Amino acid sequence: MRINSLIITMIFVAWGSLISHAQNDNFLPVADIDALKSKLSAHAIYTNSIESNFVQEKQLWMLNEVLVSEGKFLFKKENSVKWQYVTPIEYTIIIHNGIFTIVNDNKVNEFSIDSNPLFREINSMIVTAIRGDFIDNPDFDAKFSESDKNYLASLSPTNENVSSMLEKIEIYFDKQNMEVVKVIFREPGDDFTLITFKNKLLNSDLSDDRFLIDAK
Amino acid sequence: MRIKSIINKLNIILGLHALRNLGTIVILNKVKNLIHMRLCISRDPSLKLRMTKNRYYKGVGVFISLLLVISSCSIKGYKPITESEKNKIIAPHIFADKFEKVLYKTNLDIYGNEITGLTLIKKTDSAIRVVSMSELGIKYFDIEFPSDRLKPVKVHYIMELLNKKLLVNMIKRDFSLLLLSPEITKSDIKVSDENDSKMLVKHNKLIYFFDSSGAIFEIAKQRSLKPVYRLSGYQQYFPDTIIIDHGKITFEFESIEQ
Repeated sequence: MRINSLIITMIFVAWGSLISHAQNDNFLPVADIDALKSKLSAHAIYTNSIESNFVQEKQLWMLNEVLVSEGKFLFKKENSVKWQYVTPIEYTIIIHNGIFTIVNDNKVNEFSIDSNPLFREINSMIVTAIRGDFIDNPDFDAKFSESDKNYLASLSPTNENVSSMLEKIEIYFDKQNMEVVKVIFREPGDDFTLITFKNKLLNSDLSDDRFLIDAK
Repeated sequence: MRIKSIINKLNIILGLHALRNLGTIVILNKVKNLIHMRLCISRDPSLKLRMTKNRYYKGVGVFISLLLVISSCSIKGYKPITESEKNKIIAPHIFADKFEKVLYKTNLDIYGNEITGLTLIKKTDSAIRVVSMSELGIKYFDIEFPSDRLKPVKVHYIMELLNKKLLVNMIKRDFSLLLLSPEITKSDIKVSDENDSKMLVKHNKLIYFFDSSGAIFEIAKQRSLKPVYRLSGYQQYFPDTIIIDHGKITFEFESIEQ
């Protein structure tokens, strides 16, 4: 539970940035961080909801294997999030009305965010990331670079427990519209997980019912 | 009177077993002697004095351990394999020689902490590699089991939170057992009285139950007969489900069609 929670924290922070704002050609350090910050927060204010499909590719170098999972991602302001795997297994994480829910094999585990300091922390991290100010977040050591087309935020976890599992999170933003294009979770060693977002719908009329457990 | 009748019954059992199992005779004989010894003591209390205390306690110890041996030896309803049956037997295995790879939905319960995700088991040139990870793709462990069982198992990675000696050794032992077929002697195999495709063989303090195709469906402890590994749904070269039950630590794997 604790392990998954930590991982979930990391991934949510990454989507948070997706929400507020994220490709790789020739990247150089960002010259004007303040300009980037204001771009990110402007995008965060503009974004009320996101509906997107995602493809997760787990790269196992030594085994020459790529494990592909697919699913759906939903976000609605202020902080409703749904991360739903459809294939090869069904697995859903929902944050809605202060409740953190994991649905695995029709088994539902619910945690009140307020009752659990860990989830409260996760929640505040998500909100922080949604607001777009992960730049000054103490949980990460953030570095920003840019190419012609993209901004790249490289987040290194400062918590040792987390950094032993995740070396770095790379978030790629489209410079034109500040939307996240892909996220890469780099592990110690050469393995990594690549998440790409497809068919993204911004500010659609997303009803709260979509964040219920049985909702598709 | 009662003790006498027990000795008589033991004599009858000894007679019945004489043709089947020499080991059982030795054990039952010792039990008989011990009971006889106690009978003598009850008749003549001075005999007890003549026996040294040490010997008496040693005797009781042997009695208890013999009872344990008896209970662990008796698996009812299985008979030794015949020569003709022996030649038809396919060696017991879980992952067949032709096995290449499989992805399992995974559920690990470690002292009430549930860890879920996916496990990839893949054959390489000289080993089988087991990689377990969360749904979100973060690795729990990555361990290599060489086909040459003399070579050591190699832990490429294990998440710091899971890096506990007991757990790591358990994972190594469990997968070595599942991935590498037991090196058994075919003449040790016993066949079920009722169903001749149900067989068992004892090996390394464990009992392997398997069918005529060689597919192992259960591995139990010899001592307690408690099933520790349960395998089912053999379709291709691997089982669809694997359940490992160590009491407070359980592992469950269910194959996913890719």
